[in-house]
Amino acid sequence: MSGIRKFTLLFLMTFPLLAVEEGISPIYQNGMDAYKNGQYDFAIQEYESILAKNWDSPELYYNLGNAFFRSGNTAGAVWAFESCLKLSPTHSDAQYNLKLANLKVIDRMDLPEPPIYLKLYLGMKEQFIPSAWINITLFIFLLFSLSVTINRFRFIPIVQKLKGLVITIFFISLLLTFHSIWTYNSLNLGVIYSQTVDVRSEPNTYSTRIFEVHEGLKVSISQLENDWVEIELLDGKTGWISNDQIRLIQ
Amino acid sequence: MVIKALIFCFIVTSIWADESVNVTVDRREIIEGETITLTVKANNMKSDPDVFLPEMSDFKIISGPSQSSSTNVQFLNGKMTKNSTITMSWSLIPQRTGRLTIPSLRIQTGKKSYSSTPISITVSKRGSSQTDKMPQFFIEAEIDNNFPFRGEQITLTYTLYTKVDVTSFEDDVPSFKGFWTEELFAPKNLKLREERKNSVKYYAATIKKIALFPTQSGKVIIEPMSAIIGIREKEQRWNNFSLFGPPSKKYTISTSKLSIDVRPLPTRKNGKISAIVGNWNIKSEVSASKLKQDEAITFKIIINGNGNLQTVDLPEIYFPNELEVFDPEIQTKENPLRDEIGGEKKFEWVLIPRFAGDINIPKIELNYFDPKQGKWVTKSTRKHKLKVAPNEKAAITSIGLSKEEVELVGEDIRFIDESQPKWRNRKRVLVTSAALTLFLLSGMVFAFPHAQSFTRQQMEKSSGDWQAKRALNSALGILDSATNSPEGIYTQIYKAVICYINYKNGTKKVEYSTGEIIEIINSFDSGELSKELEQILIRGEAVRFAPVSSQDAHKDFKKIKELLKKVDHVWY
Repeated sequence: MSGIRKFTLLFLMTFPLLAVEEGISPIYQNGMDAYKNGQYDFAIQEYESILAKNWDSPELYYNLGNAFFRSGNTAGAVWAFESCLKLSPTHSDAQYNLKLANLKVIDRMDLPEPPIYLKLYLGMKEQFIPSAWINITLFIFLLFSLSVTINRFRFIPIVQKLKGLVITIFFISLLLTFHSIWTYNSLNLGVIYSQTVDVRSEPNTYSTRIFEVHEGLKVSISQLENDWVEIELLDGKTGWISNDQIRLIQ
Repeated sequence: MVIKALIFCFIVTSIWADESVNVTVDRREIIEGETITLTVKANNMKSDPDVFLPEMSDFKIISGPSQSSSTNVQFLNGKMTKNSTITMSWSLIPQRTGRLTIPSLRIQTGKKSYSSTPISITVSKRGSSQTDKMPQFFIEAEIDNNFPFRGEQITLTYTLYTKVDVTSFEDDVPSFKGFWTEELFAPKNLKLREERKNSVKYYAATIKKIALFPTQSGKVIIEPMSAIIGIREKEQRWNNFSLFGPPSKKYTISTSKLSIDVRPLPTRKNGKISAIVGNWNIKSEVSASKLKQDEAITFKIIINGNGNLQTVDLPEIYFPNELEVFDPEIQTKENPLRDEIGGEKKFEWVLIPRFAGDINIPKIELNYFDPKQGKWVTKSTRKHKLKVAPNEKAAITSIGLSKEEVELVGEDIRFIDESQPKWRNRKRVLVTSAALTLFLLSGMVFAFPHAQSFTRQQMEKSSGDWQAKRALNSALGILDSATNSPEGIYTQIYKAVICYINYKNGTKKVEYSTGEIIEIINSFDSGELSKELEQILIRGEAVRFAPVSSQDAHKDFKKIKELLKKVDHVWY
């Protein structure tokens, strides 16, 4: 294969990504400029248009959260920072800004501190997103395979000793991977987007009003029914709200 | 023979005894609340009779059937008469006054069936002008209100009236279907008082008082209460030597059935209705109206009055969002001495204001129906205004803020991230191309030693097969290089045979004895082939000592080629 043909093939392979960059980057830059000029609503509009095109990134969510915060939209800020942390759980700036946004949320629910071992485990799981956990587990498996292969051809005592350690780490990583994937797929979270929301016992407007929640509260979503969403609070309370009163964390 | 004849006569006499069935009652005229005994007597039946009682809407069976039997044998003028009687009896109590009928009873005994004639019973109203009859003792049920509203209390009183000595009394209270009930009064010992009933002097005692709350509207029936009463017999019948005191006789008596028309609760224009009926008051209290942020206070609602306390409940209360509200503690206290059911229900909440400023607790409404006034009533508590002062120390504990969060109060968010984003498709899948690559790579590395080992084995195996195939050609090649001398021919024959065996077995042995060669060949063919080969090899060994003609040597040379080809056929 000649050099020109190789280059053409490489270009064709990377072309879609380049096209995305070309289409999105100016919009993103407009949003950044608007933010710096204090035009927070315009910045939000630009960032949201990128999301509407089905592209995102932790940086986009983080900057969108900041724009929401500055424009006084607490619910939007909480939603954007939570979305950023879903993609990048260790994003320290997003963690910090989320704490500040949560100070403005009326409904406060604190769970008791988990036991130390559970805290450690969950902390470890939150370090990476599910796809990163998959990569890590496969990399550890590769190391294990290498140690087995090397030992087959030439016995190296240190490799033999490390094999046990590597297999232990592999199984821990596998557990974290499965847990992370399960959480990612089964636990749908959302943020209350209206200022005050009446939570009802059934998915209709004439059912009993059970309790009230306010904007910015993070809730779990149990099920969807037409235009209604069943939410569950951290303290176990459940009820139905209209789906235009909540925004799902992506 | 004589004895046999006597036995025969006895049997014949017994068989010819008369069969009959009698259905009787002990009284045909009674006063309401009294019982009658219905008796069926079956005489001289071969088997036990089956009595089929008809449906009797006018009577209620209090007890029965009680069964007894007797046999009587008589010898009269040398003739033996045998009578057997089975008696079954029931205690019946009339359900209403007037002329009532016990319908025809069917009695089945063996294949025979009997029917009784209907029996008329006259039940007079107690103390009615026509009869002017007043019994010696009776029980009466009275209610204080025949037209209550649904949920309103009515009081049912059971009273015993007697002119004679009562030795025992056991009541059987009916199930009050359609009512929520609560016992108001049930004495352990009956307290008698003098009372006149239809101008007749009686000793009266209240047996039971029950509060009934109708749970449905419309016509509701209170079933009769029955009781077994023990009455002391006349003294002359009392044997002074009796250890058990004067004898008493037991009677079953009953109250009449009562019918109540329960009125439904009326509707209300403003729709503020509830299930609460009675006369109630509501008030509320707060433990403090001036307090600091995050200080707990108690908020009480007290409802007291008359009516069914079980139905008393509050409507849903919406406290202001500034307050943290804990689940209420509910206490119920019933009136201890009462004829009217009622009491007090207390609801107590712990409230913690999480924000400073004025917080209003709204008034709480109680809607109930007052049957005495015949209308719906709304009463409410007063509003409470809480003046909440800010708590300087609230930074540490307020609104559930953690210490870490408290440190953030007054801080500002961090600046935007200006780095170039790594764009991702929002519909991306979890398994990336990097993961796939890693998976394939690790799979390959893991499988490599196994694959290598497998390949080597395969190669070795195929190499052995190839050598085995080459064995015959190699042997024949060695034979072709033989010289014409007999020694040379036999030397090459020996070399060819050893080469053949080495190739076939994959061995590299230099020397084999004739015995070893024959043993190897024997494992494939123990017939002519091995014998002929053995002869050639023996001749080859002997050629050094006993010369062989060149002609014989050439013959063996040709033969060995044929033999090796044949051996190759049978070698596997």
